[in-house]
Amino acid sequence: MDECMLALADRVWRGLGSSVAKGCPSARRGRCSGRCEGACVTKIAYACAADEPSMPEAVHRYVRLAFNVGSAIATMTTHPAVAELDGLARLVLGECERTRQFARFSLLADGSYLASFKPKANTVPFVAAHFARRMGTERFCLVDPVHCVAALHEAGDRRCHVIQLDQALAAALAARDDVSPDERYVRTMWKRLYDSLALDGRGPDERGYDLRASWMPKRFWDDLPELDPRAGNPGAYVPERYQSA
Amino acid sequence: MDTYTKLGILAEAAKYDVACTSSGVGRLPQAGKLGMASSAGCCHSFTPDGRCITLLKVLLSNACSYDCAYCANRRSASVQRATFTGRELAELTVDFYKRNYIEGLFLSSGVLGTPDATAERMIECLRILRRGLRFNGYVHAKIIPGTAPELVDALGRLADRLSVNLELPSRSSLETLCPDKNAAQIARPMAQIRDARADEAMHLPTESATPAERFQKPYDGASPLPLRTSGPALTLRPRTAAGPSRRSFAPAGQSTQLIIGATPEDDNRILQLSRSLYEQFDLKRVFFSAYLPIMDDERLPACDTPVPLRREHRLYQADWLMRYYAFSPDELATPDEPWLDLEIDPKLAWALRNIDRFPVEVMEASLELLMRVPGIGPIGARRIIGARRAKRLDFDDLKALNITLKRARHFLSCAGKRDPASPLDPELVRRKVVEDARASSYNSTRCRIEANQPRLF
Ligand code: SF4
Repeated sequence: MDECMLALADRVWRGLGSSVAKGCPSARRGRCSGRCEGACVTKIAYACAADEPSMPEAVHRYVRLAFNVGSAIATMTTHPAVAELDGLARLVLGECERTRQFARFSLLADGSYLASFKPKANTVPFVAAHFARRMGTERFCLVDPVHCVAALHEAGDRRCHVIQLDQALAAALAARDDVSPDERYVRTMWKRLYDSLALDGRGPDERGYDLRASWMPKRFWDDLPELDPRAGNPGAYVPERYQSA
Repeated sequence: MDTYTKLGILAEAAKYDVACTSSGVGRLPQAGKLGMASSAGCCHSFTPDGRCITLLKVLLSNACSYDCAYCANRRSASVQRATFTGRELAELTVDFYKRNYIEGLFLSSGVLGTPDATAERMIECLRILRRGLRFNGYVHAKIIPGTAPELVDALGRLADRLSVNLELPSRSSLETLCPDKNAAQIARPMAQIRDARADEAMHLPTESATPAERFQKPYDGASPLPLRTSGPALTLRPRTAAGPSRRSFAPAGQSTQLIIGATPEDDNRILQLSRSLYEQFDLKRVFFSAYLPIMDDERLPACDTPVPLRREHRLYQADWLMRYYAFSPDELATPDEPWLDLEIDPKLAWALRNIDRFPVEVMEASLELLMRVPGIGPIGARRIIGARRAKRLDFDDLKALNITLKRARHFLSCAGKRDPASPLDPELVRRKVVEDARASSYNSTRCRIEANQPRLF
């Protein structure tokens, strides 16, 4: 995005922050404090990450309304423009949760971790902090080849760098397969655990519907090692830490 | 025996344990340590039957010297036996955690000789994990009844949550089916954990309210709901002053599990028991596990008995209503009608039995009353209260608030107006609900209950 547009967007964003803060009981020093986790303003950022073609117009309607009514926007939850924006934000939040749940990392030969994940919204910028907290001791990369965004983390850093990539680079990164020799063994172990947990008498046939597919959408299945038939055999190589056992 | 074979045996052996949640404790990352714990938990995978997988749940060993009738690992069963080394299991936990497969470890074991000997092995494993591998993620450890108090204490300082399984809903059932265990042995560690936690809380400063806590009742609707919140954070239950993040002993508290359908106790009895456990031992959760008839034994239901899945689900719903909606056990399964209705959920069943309390007026009803309307939950009720300050609400407004009206319509009036197409007719409501019970609304309740997943807005 070019510099001018960025500066302009930033200006609108800030203006909005102080506009909705006027008269808001949770505001601090005339600005939206984010103490209520910024439902009024922050949710615009989430909505903007939606892939829906209706997104730009919906955000526009909401922003105009917010400038008009100020802090009253917080209570106008039944207004169509607010409800529409909430719908988009909710969708993106759901997809963020799925990213946290189903992104799977692999250990690469160079000792760093890589996950490629294909969400239905641009979630990586929102979940990068979560993975930085979770994997603070590791060097890792989480790449989304659909939206061409990656979160890069160096071991010991408190946060990730989130960068926009061009399509070719994103695809190349996502396709890296120079995994560590340990990887096959650990994936096989995970699949083994997964397979062992299945219980008879409680499946889709007894229940009448497929509970698994509703929690874990099928569009992610191809990238889950626990559902990958190739992870069925550990092979001859056993990582050293499992040899003495 | 190699790790791969062991993992198969010991995961298989632990799969009957249904408790698999990592929620209840938030812990920030620490420099040089791997991982953190987030209070909402995170389901990383789902089994073919739809149970959430959050933790590496295995037995340390299935070479058990006890002989519980219903258990596949009992001494007299002919199964292959295996035992992990502490190092092996700790390494697996870390390997899985780094790949985002799990949130932590659920450590449980058959009785390796004696409860104390087993606890010592568990402690060894957790020390390697916490100190050697510097793991800062979630750990659940299961205490075997009869474990020495100092070992229970050591486990509590390494784990986030402890559990002591009640196993069965009555003393006599326990005596019949678990000859090596007794009720006093189970109650002792439970009481110890409760007391140690209470003792620690007395010495901790009160934590300042989290955003979720600021929406505790009475909710005045003055500020908007947070963008992201979890249903459980919005309950009517009083919260303890000392939150989990500063605690060093079992910060996520304790839970228990009992098997339903293996013995004759009715639902009223189970709910009463569950409530008294929450009160007496300050439990975080009581898990119900539908009995899977795997063992041929004259003390147990025959092997072709269907698994009481529906009943398990209704019990979870009822338990949820007691904990978060302030229902009492007798409101849900009365002493006269001690079984929960399997066709409809317990909240709807209560509403149909108490039809004279409806319709509820959207513009005036209290939070508690709104939450008693079938189809309206803690978040929806708060959204209504927030929105009605700004405007007289009609049914379309409720829809814009993302409130599911399918059921609620029958039980509400909006500024005095009813929906003429949705009369307060118990028979009609029941028929409609039963007809679309196979539809997906059944799923979302289950998710909320089982996984404690955050709800949005
Ligand atoms: S103590 Fe009882 S329930 Fe536990 S593993 Fe041994 S036989 Fe099974």
